[in-house]
Amino acid sequence: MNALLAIVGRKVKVAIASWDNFFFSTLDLYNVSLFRCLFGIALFFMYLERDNAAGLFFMNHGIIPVHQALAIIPEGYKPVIALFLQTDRGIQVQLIAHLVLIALFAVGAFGRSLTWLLFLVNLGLNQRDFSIVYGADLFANCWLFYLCFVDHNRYFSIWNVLKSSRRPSKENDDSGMSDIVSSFGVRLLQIQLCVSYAFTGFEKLKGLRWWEGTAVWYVIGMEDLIPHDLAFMKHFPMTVGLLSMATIIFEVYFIFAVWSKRLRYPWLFAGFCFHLGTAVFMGLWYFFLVMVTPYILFLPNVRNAVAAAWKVERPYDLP
Amino acid sequence: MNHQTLPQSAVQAPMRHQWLKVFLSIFAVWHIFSIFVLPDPDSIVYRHLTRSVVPYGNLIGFNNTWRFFSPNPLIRLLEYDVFTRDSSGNLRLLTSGRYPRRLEHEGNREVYNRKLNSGMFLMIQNKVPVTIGRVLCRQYANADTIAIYLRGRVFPEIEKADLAYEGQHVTNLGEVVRQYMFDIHCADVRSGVGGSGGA
Repeated sequence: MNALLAIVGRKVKVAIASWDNFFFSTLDLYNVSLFRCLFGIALFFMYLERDNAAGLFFMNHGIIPVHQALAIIPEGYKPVIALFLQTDRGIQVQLIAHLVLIALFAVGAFGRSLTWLLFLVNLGLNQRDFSIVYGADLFANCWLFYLCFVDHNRYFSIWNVLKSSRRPSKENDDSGMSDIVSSFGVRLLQIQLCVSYAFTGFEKLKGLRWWEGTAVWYVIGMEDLIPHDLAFMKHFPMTVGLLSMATIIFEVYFIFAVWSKRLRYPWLFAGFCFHLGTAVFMGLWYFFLVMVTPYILFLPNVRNAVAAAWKVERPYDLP
Repeated sequence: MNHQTLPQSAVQAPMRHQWLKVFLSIFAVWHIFSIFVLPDPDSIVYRHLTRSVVPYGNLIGFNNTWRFFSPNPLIRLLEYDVFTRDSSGNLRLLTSGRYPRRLEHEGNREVYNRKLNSGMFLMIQNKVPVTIGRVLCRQYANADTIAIYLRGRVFPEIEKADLAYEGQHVTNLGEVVRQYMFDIHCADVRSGVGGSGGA
C-alpha cells in the first residue's frame, strides 16, 4: 500500500512539475512582442476599413438601432454586460477610442492594464453590431483577451526607441524574459488556437460535402465570395478532393502537430498557405493576418532569425 | 541558502509566486474547460452548464461555435424588390437591389464581407424587417412594400460540371435560385410596428 502511494505521489509530483514548467517557465518576450506588433497593425487597418461604413453598422440610423443591438443576438449568446455606449455620439467616441487604442497597442505604447481597456472597448463594439462579426473579430477578441495577461511591449515598443534605458540589454538579460503571468497568457493563447482549429475541423466533418471531399468545389461556386473564375478545377477532381481533406486534416491535427518538433514547421507552413489561399481567393486578408500572426508564438529563435535578416550583430539592441 | 539570513520581503516573494501560480492554475483549468465546452452548444455538458460556463463565455465574448464553411459551404445573398403604390392603389415595381451591393460598388472588401455576413445572420435570426428593412424603407421614401428574397446558386456536382458545362464561366454553372422569403410593409416599419416580417 505504501509502495503504491509512493508511486502515485511521484506521478503527481511529475505532473505538477510538468504543469508548472508548461505554464509558468520563462519565455522570451521577443516573440509575443513581435506578434502583438503585427497583430495590432492588422487590427488597425481591418477596423479602419470597417469603420468606413460606421454609420450603417453602428449608428441609430443604420441597420441596427441601439434598442435592437442585444435583441438580434440569439438567446443563450447575449452578453452579460453591454459594453457599448448607447448614443450615436457615444459610439463615435468609442469607435475613435478603439482605433487610437489599437494604434498605441500596435506600437507597444502600453502594457497589460490598458490592453484590458482595449479588450473591453473592442468587445463592446462586437456587441453593438453582432451581425457583422465574423471569424477575424472572434479570434481578435480571443488574442486581445490573452494579451491582457502578457507583458507584450517589452520589444517592438515605441518606448524602446524614445528611452534607451528601457531597452532590454545583454547586461540585463532578465528584462526580456516573461514573468509567470505572461507565460501563462502566452500558453493559453496557444491552447486557444489549437482548440479552435480542432473545432473548426470537427464542425466540417459534420457536413456531407467535407466528408466526401467536394467542399472546395462548392466554395469555388460561391460567386458572391470568390470573384475569380475557377471553373477549370472541374478537370481536377482529385485536387479538389485532396484540398478538402487536407483542410480538415490540418485543422483537426493542428493541436497535436504543432507541439511536435518534427511536424511543427510543415504544419505551420501548411496553415500559412491555407490562410493565404483564403486571402487571395476570398479577399479575407485580415482574417489571414489574424490567424497566422500567432504562429510566431510557436517558433523558436525568432529573435536570431530577425537579427540575421536585418544583419544586426547585437540582436538585444533591437527596439 | 538559509531563509533567516534573507530580508523578510525576499522570503515573501516566492510565497506570493506560489499562491499566484495556484490561483492561475485554477483559472487555467476553468478557462480551458470552458473553451472546450463553449464551441459545442448541442452537447449535454454545455446544456448542463448554462448557468456557469455559458455566462462566462458570454461575458468575455468566447461563446462561439468556430463554424467556418461548415457543416457545408453555403452562402446566400439577400435581394429585394421595392414596390410603390400608384394612384389607383396597385403595386408597381420601383426598383430591385441586393445587400450587399456588388463588390465594385462597395467601399472596400472588408465592408462587403461584413455586409454579406450581416445579411445572412439577420435573415437566420428573422430580424431583417427591423434592421435592414428599416433602412430600405427610409431609403425609398415612396416604398409601400419590400419583397425579400434569398438568392443562391445550386452548383452542379463536380463530375456533372465536367460533362455538361464544358468551357463555361463559373457563373454559368448550375442554376440560380431566388427564393421568396417575405414582404416588409413600410407603413408598419415606419410606425414601429413591423417587427415580425414572418419568414
